Amino acid sequence: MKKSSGIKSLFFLVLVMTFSSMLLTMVAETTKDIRNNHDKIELARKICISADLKDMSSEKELLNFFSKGKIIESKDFKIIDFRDESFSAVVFSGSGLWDQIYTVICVRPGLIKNVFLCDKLLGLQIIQQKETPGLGGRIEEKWFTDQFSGFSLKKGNPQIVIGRSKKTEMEIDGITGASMTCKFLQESLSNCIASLKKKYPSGMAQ
Amino acid sequence: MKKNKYWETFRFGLIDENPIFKMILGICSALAVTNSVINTLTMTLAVIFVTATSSALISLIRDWIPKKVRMVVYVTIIATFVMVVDLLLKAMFPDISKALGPYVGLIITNCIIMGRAEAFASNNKVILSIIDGAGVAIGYGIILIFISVIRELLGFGTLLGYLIIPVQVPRMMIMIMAPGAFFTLGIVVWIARYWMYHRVSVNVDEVGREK
Amino acid sequence: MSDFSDFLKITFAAVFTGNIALTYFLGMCPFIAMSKSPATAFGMGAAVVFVMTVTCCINWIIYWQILVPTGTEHLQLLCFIASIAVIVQILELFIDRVSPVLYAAMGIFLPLITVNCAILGASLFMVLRKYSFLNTLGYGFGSGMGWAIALLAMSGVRSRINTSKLPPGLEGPAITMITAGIMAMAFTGLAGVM
Repeated sequence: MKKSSGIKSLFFLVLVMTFSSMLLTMVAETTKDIRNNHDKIELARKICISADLKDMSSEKELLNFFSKGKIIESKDFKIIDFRDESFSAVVFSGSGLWDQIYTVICVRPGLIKNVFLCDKLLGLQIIQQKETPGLGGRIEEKWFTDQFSGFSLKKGNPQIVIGRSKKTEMEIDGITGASMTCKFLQESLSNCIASLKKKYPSGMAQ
Repeated sequence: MKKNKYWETFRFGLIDENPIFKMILGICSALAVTNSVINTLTMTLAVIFVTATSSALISLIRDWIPKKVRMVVYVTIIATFVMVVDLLLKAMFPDISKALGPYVGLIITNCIIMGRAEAFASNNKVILSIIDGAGVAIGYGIILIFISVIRELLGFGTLLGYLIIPVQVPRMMIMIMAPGAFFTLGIVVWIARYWMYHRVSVNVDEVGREK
Repeated sequence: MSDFSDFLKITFAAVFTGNIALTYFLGMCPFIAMSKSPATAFGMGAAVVFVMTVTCCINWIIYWQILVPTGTEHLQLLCFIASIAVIVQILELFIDRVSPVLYAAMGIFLPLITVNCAILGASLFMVLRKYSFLNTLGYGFGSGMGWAIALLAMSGVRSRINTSKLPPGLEGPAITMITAGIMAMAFTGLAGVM
């Protein structure tokens, strides 16, 4: 008697579990494409802003544009190469003050046949950040990210400086009151460029 | 008469059993998502949906659930609905879903839903269970929204993204950050408890005088 | 080398700046219920450190080695909850057998942990931030430590509050929330150490 009730409970449990995982799989499958597309569109939009491609506006155009990119995944970064537009986008993340900061940079000329050339930074956009709102959160603002567009990487990496008017061409004007966030952003950018150099040594030496 | 019973159940869940004032339950998400009104609204709707549907389903199959494994069954059912909500949010409102992050998934460990399943849905009819679940969740949501209105107004100076306080007025950044959530909830609970305490003592006085 | 400095950074951040109780508001129900006396706070804190480290590591294996290769990431919540419940159960049996002293100290807190949202939250954050296994180990341990430190500090403060007179309505949860707010502010200041 007791044993049969145990088997019955177990059977019931298995039934509930199967039913719920089936329901979930169904919902997951039906929404899969939409969910994936959202991420792609979001990324494509950021890439277009940082590479200054103004003609992309509708979601369809963005998706179409993104599908042309060739994706190369690596441990520290993800390269999306757009040969038609002759630039590469590099997605990377680094620790911020509170959480990871996800950033995308567009570099020209980019990846050409296993050689990565990064001479010029077309632009930088923040994909996701959870910095202090109103202080570090301002790294998303246009005036800050605009400073990176057209930056020449030939001489070295950009230095984010706070508190004095911009002096050399290597320096980017930082955000007052958000020195930590600026430091973290600069660090993750330098790390990304360093690991790019490590992976494609021949290309960067030029 | 019958209508009254439904209303009583709803009102009971909304005010008397209010999870935040009465039991200080489920405040994890109450604190985490209240830095903007739109996030809070979404979270509230998700909690209402999950509580109502899981209460309904549990009440529907309450006679078949073996007593020994009932907790596991409840958790499975709640987890399923939470994940459905999570997937739908990701598909339809990707921005809000990103802002809420893992807190949608954490609805599962929100003691309120589990509490309602065990205390009410497991021995009441379907419609009553839905009303009870929704009542408790709405009561919870109203406080969440109240807190988020205070925090967004003081922190960003906006409501639902519209500018309310002129830009010249300095913002209280602390309100959007973690400490602000603790202060606001602490003060809201203080006022609510004081009011409840006060109200009860007045009622006792009135009853005493009448007798 | 950089892997190790990452590990240290993540552990430190989990204990102080990204404190799971004071910055991410997780595990608040037991935080308020268990901080009444330093003795219970210590037992609960130790149990959380232990369980969080183990569950984070096992959930990492479940997620990256089983769910991702089979393409069933949408079942993660169900799997995490089940694995946490099972791990807690096994740990309870194991500690009871191996060390009765340890069991007496934190045994009664173990079942409570199954419904602690900090444990599930740490696993979800670990997946969301795509930590490596080593970093997950550091994150799980650090988050547990952070939660335990916050709980212990709170219990110390509360034992002093108990002896003072408070305005009506403020006693209990309300003053605990406000104290937690002040503690959160103090922890925010530690960001500079990074």
